[in-house]
Amino acid sequence: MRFNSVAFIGFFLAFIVVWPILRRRNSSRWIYLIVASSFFYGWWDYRFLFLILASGLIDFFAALAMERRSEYKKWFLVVSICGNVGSLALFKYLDFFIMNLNYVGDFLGFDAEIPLARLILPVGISFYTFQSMSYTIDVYRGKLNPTRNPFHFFAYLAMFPQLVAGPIVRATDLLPQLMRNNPTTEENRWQGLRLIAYGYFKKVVVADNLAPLVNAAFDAQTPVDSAGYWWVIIFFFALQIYCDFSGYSDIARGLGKWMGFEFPVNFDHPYLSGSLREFWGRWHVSLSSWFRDYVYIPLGGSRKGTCTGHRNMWITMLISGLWHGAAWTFVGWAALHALYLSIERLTQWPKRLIRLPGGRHLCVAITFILVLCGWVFFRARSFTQATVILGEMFNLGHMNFKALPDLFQVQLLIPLATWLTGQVYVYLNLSEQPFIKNSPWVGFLRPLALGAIIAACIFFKGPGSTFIYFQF
Amino acid sequence: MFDTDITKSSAAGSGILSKLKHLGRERIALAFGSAVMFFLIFSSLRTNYIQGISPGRFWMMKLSWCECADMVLAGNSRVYRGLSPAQMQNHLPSMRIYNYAFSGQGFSDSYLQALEKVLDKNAPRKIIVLGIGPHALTKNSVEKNGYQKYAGMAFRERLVCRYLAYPLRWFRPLSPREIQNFIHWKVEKFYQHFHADGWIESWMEPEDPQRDISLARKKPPLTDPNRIISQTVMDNLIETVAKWRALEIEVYGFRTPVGAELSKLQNYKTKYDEEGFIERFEEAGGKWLSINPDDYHRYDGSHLNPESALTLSRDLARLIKESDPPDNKIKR
Repeated sequence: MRFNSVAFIGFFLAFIVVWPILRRRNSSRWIYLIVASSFFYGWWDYRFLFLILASGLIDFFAALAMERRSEYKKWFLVVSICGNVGSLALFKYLDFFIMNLNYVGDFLGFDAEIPLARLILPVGISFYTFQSMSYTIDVYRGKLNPTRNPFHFFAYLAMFPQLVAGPIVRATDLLPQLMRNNPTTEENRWQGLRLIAYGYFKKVVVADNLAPLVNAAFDAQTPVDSAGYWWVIIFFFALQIYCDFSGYSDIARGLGKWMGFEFPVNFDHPYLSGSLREFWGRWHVSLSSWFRDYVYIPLGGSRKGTCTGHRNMWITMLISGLWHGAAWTFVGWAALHALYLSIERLTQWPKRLIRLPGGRHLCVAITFILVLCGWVFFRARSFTQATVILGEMFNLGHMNFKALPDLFQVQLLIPLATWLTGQVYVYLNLSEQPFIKNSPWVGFLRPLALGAIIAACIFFKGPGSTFIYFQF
Repeated sequence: MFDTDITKSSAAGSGILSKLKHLGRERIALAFGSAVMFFLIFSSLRTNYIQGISPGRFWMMKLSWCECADMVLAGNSRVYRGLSPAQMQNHLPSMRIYNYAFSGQGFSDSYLQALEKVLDKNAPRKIIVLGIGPHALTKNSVEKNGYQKYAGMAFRERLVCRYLAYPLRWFRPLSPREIQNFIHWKVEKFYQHFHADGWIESWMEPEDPQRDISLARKKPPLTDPNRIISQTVMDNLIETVAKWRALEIEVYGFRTPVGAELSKLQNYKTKYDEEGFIERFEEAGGKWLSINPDDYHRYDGSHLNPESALTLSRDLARLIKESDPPDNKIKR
């Protein structure tokens, strides 16, 4: 059930009407959440429910077993990780593995080809497996006591606002919240409504209006030979993926607030970062912190010397790239970012540049351009296409602006203008400026602006529909 | 006195401000209230007017047709806006006629099979009329088209589309044209009346008969192989025509009347050899209906206004009535 569908709006309205009554007790709160989440998730395909049930049961019992038989807790952790990674490997990476095996076999002269399994990828598998693994790993580390109530555990694992595309919420954050009846305050509801409205605006008005242009550019048989065209397209894609993904996260957080739960911030204006390190502290925060805590730090982090630090960073980034998709282009995207981070660590260029007049702005611009170059690999169908597009982008002698007017279609004006205004507002920290902060009109204008945003989500909705990160 | 006036006006101003501040505390209610206000404002920007059946219900209705027709009309928007089954029935009174055209429709396998399924197998005379233009013979139109979009919907989505069509039409987004008209402060109204037989009667005020011709002139020659004539699509259509003929289904084809200049431009850009196609079409057993595009008036260069749609419907019905059945004799 997509957030941007009539079915979801009906579902949530029905859910929230009954929620204040059923959330008062632990048992009814958990069971109601599980039933609602199962309905939400099963809407796509009821068969997916068996996988999340099986995956969750392995982790629930593994965590209990770790507490009861602590001498074997390492083995129970291995069982949990194998269960989760195994299901990911099977549904997400099996065909990727087979394709590469066939390629190697063909290279070595073998005629026979292994047929692809073509298994359906369950929606959100990458998210809930990571969420589930964080539970067992935290129990293993002693940071968390396992819950003895399976309903409590599954209410955490399957909670519908963040089930299919994050944010990945740690058990240490959410399990305690689930133990309490958290009545919502007016402030929660207001902040929740803002997040939901902004989230929908980013997704349906900005991202969905940009999607057809980006898709047409990347689907074309022959890429347009214009540097100007490709810089604009990649900028549009950068905007699309940010608004699509952060929009989903905002809606999830907003829904959580209406339910009385706090989910972590997942995107903190990443394109305003002044370095790649800062970028990764602002982009998909729940995933990057997951990889930091469960891959990078256990490998040793940067504690064991410079070379080991770089090695650990590269391993973490490459695994993160593969998490995004079963394709070498995602690994290429991650490798490029790992290279950026290595160079940044060695040269400390942001710290040097920031001392110059306008240095912060220069750092933000350079970081944004580097991120744009990375997005080429993320979006391209193949390495070949990515290299051709990068070649066009850096063929600066061939700007060929004639191709550009077709890109700036009228239905993009409002989304782009609104988004840019928002970014300038944040970048210049206008909300803290006295003329805005102390203005008596702010309290009245904010709800008015929110009303305009809500109406814009209906009238300026774009034609695209699926959230990009559903494919992960 | 002057000071008193200032004091009074200050008191009045602070009274308004305090009222606004108080209103601001009811911010959620205010947000929803202003959303309703903006909804009404944005609604006034609509210049696409819809009458008759709700669009969602209209397309779902088409998909539900099964073994109910003696004659099926097929093609893209030029057919669903250009042919009125009711008008055709005035000249072919014994026939049940349905307009099964979809937006941007190409002659894909699935669509051709669906056409056959709409025909009543027991009908004494079974006819398929194909509105064929070059765009319907491209890979792009075969891969992305209206039939595929609606037929590919999940059952639940179809239910929502069909039964919530009326309330949902008030929540449809503004079209790019409506936004353009607002930005350019242009008044251009577009009317559509959705009929139960599959015809969308449509017209514009003011009309712009040169619009699509100007657009076609500006576009550079197509380089994307998906947007030029596909030999595979053409061969598949010809084979299907031959198969239908073997099943004693009469097949008629015609070029939707778009005007000589636009026709030439489209043929050139898509590399369409129309004469060669017509020859193959007739060899396969189909019958080509020749019409004079100058006899019809298009409100945007491509689509017929209601009067011309009724005229074309009458003209095609007469041609079909007068035409002998093709070589394979049909038992009636």
